[in-house]
Amino acid sequence: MNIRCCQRNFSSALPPLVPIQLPSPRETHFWYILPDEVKSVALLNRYSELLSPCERENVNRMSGDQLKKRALLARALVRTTIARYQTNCEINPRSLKFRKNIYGKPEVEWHKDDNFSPPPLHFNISHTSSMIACGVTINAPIGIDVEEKQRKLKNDIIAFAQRYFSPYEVKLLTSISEPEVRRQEFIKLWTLKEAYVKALGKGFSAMPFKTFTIQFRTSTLRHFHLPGNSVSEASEVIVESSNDPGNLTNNCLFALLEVAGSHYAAICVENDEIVRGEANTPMKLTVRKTIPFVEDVCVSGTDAVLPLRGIIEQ
Amino acid sequence: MAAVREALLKRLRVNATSLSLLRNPKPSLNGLFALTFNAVHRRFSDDVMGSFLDKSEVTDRVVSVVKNFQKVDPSKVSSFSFQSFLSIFFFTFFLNSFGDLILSVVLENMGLRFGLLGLLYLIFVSSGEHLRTLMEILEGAHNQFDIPEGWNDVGVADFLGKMRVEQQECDLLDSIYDEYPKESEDLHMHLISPILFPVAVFSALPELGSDEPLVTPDAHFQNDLGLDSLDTVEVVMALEEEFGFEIPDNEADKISTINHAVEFIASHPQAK
Repeated sequence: MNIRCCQRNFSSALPPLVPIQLPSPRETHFWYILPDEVKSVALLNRYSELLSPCERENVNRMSGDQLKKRALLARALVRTTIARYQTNCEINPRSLKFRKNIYGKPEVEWHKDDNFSPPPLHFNISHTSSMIACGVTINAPIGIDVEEKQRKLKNDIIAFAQRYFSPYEVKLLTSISEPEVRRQEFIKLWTLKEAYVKALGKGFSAMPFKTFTIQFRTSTLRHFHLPGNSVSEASEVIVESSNDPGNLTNNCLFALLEVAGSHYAAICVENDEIVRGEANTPMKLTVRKTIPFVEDVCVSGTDAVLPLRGIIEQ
Repeated sequence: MAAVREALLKRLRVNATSLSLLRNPKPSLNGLFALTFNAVHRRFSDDVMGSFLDKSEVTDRVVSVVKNFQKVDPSKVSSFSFQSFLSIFFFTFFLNSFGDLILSVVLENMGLRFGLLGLLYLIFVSSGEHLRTLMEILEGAHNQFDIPEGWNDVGVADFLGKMRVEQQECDLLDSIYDEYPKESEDLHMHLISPILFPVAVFSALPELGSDEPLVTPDAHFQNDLGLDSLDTVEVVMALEEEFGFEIPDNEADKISTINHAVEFIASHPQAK
């Protein structure tokens, strides 16, 4: 065992992290915390111990307890989750280092060591005031976005869409007359678009939302593994670049879910392994609700996870 | 009773002049009034000023736009408008019934800052005073606590964010106690002790759980105001409407503080 990569500096107060298997290729792990469930000050203090001095300072710079707690939980979730993934040695969540790409997307900066080959983990976080989420993949850039289902826009939805979305999407939203349904569809579109630009690592500025369109395409899935080769319908999410119309960038897998009955979550995974033109590739998804050091529940396939769009295999 | 009333009225009428900030209600495109607290008398023509906007004016306008987007936890700040307060006033005045119902309505729904005014109402209803007296008190309170004209919801929300009435309330009530011990005794037994003491205590404490951050020019959208990416884009869109020019998408992300927005807008000649 290489001593250098294993820093056993756990304080005696911290319980050990339960290790977990890395996601397999084409598998996505989606973790979420509900901040309202984390009340213990002692637990928050433990999380605070995991952060780098720089991160702790960033947390303290936030105004008000709610924002501080949110920032703290987000960092703690990322650190503990990544540290849990089984590699050839234990990783201390406190020792993980992060850096940002040129557009500001955070990524893990692995310690370069002769005997330590870092796992090709990709992650992305998103948070609202009532949920903090982290998506993890192997070998594939990932972007996620969560929004509260009830979230209302201060501006008029169509005016906003005309300003920032593509014409196709504006038409889609305009064609919905029921205001509540329109609002929900708007939020769904927004999260999918956010997830896409985050997966590409670019963010809103480098990839204005008008330059691409999210479309939904109903496709039939043939279930070869089920008796009778049954068929079902799925709503596939595809993205088309405005600069290159007609060329569907099919190397992105999307999933849109309703999580915990309260949030829409969009996940986008860039996957070069997908052969262009090959349709109906499912995203293998495992959703876990967690409180680091306290609990960890797999909620895939339960009511807490409602697939809405995209071809998802739970 | 009358003596106490006189004392209250007398105190309520002082210091009207110290609150001399001009308030210019400025209609925003949504029809709500945004108050600019640093009222600068604008006297410029396009010829004199050139086509760039003055930074302090831009700051005021940006701050008022952003305030509309501020996330305020409804459990922490009372959303009970002053107009609703007034209607409860008059409704219960007609019924001439007070006590637990009004007490709970006043203290819980109004937020503790308004506890004093609710207290005053109770004092005067209990002694059977007329409507006119109530209006006098409210007018006095208007001057004392500088409640904005119109008393509309947005004005009150601003007011709540700005006021530091707690100490004033405590001082006011203390001085009345000192001046009118006998009447105060009576009041105390029947009315004040279930009301005044909690109001005074809670008023003296720091604002309970009121994490509402102030929208200052240094405010960072994400770190100080808790705005997320969708909020920020909404703010940018609202700023575009306010200043009448388009902010390119690739600039939108870079506007992460009020100061950034001000710098950007003040340096663009198309801004109106």
